[in-house]
Amino acid sequence: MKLYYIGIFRNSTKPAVELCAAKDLSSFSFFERKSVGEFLTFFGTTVAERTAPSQRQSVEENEYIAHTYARSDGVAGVIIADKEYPIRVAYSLLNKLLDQFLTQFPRGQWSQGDVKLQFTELESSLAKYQNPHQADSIMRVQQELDETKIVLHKAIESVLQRGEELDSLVAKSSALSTTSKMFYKEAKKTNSCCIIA
Amino acid sequence: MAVTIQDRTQEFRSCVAALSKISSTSASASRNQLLLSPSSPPMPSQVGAGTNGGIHGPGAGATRGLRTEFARRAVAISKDINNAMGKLQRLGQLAKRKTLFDDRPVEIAELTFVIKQDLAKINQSISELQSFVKGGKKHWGRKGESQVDEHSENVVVLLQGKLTDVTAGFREVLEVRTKNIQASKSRTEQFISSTSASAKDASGFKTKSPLYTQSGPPQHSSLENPYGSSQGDPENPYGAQNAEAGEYLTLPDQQQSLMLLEEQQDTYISERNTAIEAIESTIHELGGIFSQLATMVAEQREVVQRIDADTEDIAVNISGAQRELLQYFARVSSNRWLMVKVFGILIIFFLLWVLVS
Repeated sequence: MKLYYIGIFRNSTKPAVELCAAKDLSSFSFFERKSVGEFLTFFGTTVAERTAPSQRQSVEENEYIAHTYARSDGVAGVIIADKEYPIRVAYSLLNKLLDQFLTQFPRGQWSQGDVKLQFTELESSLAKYQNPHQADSIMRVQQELDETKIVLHKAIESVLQRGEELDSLVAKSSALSTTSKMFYKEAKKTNSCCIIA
Repeated sequence: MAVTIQDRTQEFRSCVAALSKISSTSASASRNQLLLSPSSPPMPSQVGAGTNGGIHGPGAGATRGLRTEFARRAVAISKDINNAMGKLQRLGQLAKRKTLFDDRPVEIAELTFVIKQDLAKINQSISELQSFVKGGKKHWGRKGESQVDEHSENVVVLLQGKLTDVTAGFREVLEVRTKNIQASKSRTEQFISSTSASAKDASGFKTKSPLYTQSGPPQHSSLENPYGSSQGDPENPYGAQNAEAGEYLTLPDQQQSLMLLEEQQDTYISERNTAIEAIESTIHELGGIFSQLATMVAEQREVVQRIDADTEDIAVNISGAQRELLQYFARVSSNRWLMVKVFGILIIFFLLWVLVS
């Protein structure tokens, strides 16, 4: 599952204006990259335009899915990923990025004209979220819990084995105890009773 | 009645910066610095230093500039904090209203958003100020300045404390708002009892704090984000609850028109819900496994105690037997009379045999 593109648009105007974007085109051959990049931008722009404010949308196209989230104050985020990428992670990533974007760039900077803003978080989160199981907190917690469960199962098996060994130990020790008691009695008998004749 | 709060801090700051650029090059630097230097009480040492500034020459003038720069920044920050507190009070007023129909969610949401952004900015400027203070310390390092260092640090701590207070107040207001929303929802149900509303109830009442009519950003989780843990692990359950938005604030009449929208939102929301429920059940299972483990170990403890007792018995028996054998050995090796007796009987038997045969 791969992420190809993260972009933040201003969709209060038609056409939507791309404020900042990050792309990961490493899976395409060198000659394809330019055209794929343009296609991703165009796809993102179109989808951002067509998403009403306060709406989440997922649009499928060939083998890419664009997850969009448009906020009510005119800014929209688009993530383009392949079909396997979990939807929930994409939306939570969008939420997070949009909030960070808005705290970093107050409204005045992007509400007019065609500006290109530098938002370094996009690149870093694009790289990080290539592995959603590690990046998204919910999935990470789930994964760790599963690992813990496996470890616990192994622990229980070992404890069972320990139980069996303890059982055999108990048997052996009780046998030994009886034998030693016989030994003691014999020794006492030899000592006390008849003198050897 | 509505007091429009205008945030003109940026303008103020740009004015101050422009003036400082003009005044730092002029000869009347000290006087202007006195004027610009703060009216707020914590800065008397800086003011005193500012008056002596003109006497000491350009090198000292630079440090004077640094110090009053700090003072100016601190004043700007405290003004920001006061602004934010004023907005918070306004928000608190709005949140306390318990009317069913005159609720103004848009204004509340906007105000919440603005306050959140302000708090983030203030936090950032305080951290800048802190790094500025630390950087400034390296310039100084003369003996007389250590008090100023302490003082600056105290001021920064004070500002941070004020910011935490405002944040705590913000959170309380949001909680009050949540409770009021729930109360108003229940009252709405009582008045407008339709089957669709009651059907929504079963699914929708899990959500706890819709702060907005339409599913805007999950403001709780993003409030936590500027402060500390950027991954927001402990905040995520909180954020998940908030992201399960209430279109619930819309009256039931409008439900049909918004049904499609809600379904889309519901997908995301219900997915998050299921994910979190899965985590919850996993944790539950883990708890069960742990308790099973504990039971098994407790049972085995009894077995171990038996083994222990047995080994003790063995030790006792063996030591007793060894004692007996030692006694026997002592008796056998010491009693010469016994040997004589034994030999005597043997010789008698020999004689008897010889006589018989």
